[in-house]
Amino acid sequence: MPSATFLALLDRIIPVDEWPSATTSGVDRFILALWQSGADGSAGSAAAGLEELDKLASHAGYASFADAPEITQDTLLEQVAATVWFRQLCELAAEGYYANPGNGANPDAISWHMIGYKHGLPEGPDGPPANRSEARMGKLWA
Amino acid sequence: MSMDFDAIVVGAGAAGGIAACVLAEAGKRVLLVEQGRWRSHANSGHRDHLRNHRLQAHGINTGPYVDGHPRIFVDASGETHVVRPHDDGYHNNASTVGSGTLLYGGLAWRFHPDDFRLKSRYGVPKGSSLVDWPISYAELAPWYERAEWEIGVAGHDGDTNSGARTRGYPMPPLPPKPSTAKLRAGATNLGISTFTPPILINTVPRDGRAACVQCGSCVGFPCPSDAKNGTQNTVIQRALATGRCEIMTGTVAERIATNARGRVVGIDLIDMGEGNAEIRRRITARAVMLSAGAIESARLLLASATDSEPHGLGNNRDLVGRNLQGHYYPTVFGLFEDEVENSHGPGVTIATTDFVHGNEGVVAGAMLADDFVMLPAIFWKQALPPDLPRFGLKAKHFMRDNYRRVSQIKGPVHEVPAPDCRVTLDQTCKDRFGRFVPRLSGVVHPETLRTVAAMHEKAEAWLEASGTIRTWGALPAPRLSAGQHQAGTCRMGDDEAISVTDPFGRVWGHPNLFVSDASLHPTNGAYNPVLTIMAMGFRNSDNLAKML
Repeated sequence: MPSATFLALLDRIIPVDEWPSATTSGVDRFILALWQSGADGSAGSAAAGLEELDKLASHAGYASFADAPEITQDTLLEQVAATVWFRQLCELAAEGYYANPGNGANPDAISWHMIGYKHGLPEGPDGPPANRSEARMGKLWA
Repeated sequence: MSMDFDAIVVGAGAAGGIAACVLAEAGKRVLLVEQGRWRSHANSGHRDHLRNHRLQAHGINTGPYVDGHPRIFVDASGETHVVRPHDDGYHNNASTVGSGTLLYGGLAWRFHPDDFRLKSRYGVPKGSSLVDWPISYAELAPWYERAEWEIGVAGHDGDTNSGARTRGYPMPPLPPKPSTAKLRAGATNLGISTFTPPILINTVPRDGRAACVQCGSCVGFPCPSDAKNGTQNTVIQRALATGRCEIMTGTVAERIATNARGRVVGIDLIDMGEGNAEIRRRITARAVMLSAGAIESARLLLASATDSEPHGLGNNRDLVGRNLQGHYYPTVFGLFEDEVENSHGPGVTIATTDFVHGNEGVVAGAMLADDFVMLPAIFWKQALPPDLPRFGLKAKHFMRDNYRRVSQIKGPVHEVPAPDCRVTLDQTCKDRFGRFVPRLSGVVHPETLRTVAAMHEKAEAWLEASGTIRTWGALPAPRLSAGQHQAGTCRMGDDEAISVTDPFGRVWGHPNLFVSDASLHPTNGAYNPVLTIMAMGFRNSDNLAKML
């Protein structure tokens, strides 16, 4: 179960406007799947970073980062903006948000509509299906 | 399978596929060995934007497979890393029938006549191993023409700086996009000549295959309409049609087989099979040609030591694997008021060759051009301004508002080779077959970085003259440069003392052992090198066919 802090932070990294936020677009599930598979090694540093964010929130008088109002969240976030774990998390969030839907986020390629990218493929945004025997850890997937 | 071959060609990429065709059509019996498998849009065209040959964030879309094929990479600070095929530092070539020609953008450049004589034109910078090619543009020109017509290039005669041509291109050039006219006007303001770059893609139906459908994910993926002309859908098909060429996929070369006198007799192969069912066998032939790319061709020579050549075949002068080079790509992005990108692939529409030579105070230069359509995830990783936060609405709105308003100019810098940039055999790390893996080390020559900076300025000036609101782009740091367009590790030459092969790619001291791929390039040109690899492939395999 992803922590409330994790979900809240993702939605400040990619906030909602007239287009979906990170979690509405499935970015949390995309990142958790990468961490669970071992393809990305930043889970530990992210967990420590989230704890740090909660501490900062508690110093500011909130029970946790998720409980703070968005404007406070953004102020707290500025304090960790230069850290490696936060930059890695922004990178992963963008990967999920802007990659093809087959990667688990970005349903209906909605971010591509937002930015005006046209895939132009006869099969749809993911192209032909992945080859199942190869699209797995150690073969073509890290 | 027959065991009686005139020639074994290792590697079914740009040059290897051509060698198989030329030899088989000349009546020779050929075995073409390929580590990868047959791939097509149908079985490998899945658009994974995070695992492809343009962005390998969490994997890749052809072999080598992620596990079992490590390399050792020594970074610019001297730190050693075990790297997997999708990692930075691996310097990967696609492992598949056709190799990169299945996935490439297919820019189809002839090198400039002076690209063949860099030493004569500029002298030898201290610490470099800069040499001239042993052949001239004029000697290669008819072979360039053969590659343009037999593989299939779309283009027009607009390059006022190119060497002499005796024939046009078989197909009309690519169409423009909204940025093209702006960039052309900007170039005109600066007195820069421009034209539509030649490309190995069908712009009209040709050779029994359709034209490009202008999808938005060209380079890095197999083509949905099979309009990219690679070796897998042209010359390799011709080779197989002769009935004299056999292809073994999923098969690696363990070593070059030699007899007691150290003479080459064939190749020791490992057929990967499925699971762990490896089948090892020796296949003999009258000649062996290595077309496995600059890293793997060098590795094979190094891994095939004999009593008389204890450091590898052709390596008694310690030259095999040295001068590893590729292309630095200085890149400048520019933001326009209007929408300038429309996702219509391939995306390269305008180039200049005015800066390939004659740049004050630096060695050589680069062809400069706009680029292929950027996948959204790649745009986010590479094209955002340095001062833009990577979080919050500012980042999101930049993507929303400007993905279609950013264009870029970039180009491959003709590098000054350095002997310390090299492939050696690691002495401890082995791959899944028990072969010692390549170890890659060295840092690009400082003169290359000076040319990179000069080309960066040219690209920036071009964009600024084209009406951009702002431009940005970081100068790349010093590092080994062989990730794009690896070359140079088995350089050819007239002088046995300073080259690995003769001017036809024959390894000195070996009457029947040849290299044919970018390993031979003494320098790697100021352009994408594949048409040169193909032209050399036609020339060198035609020579071999006459000898056999």
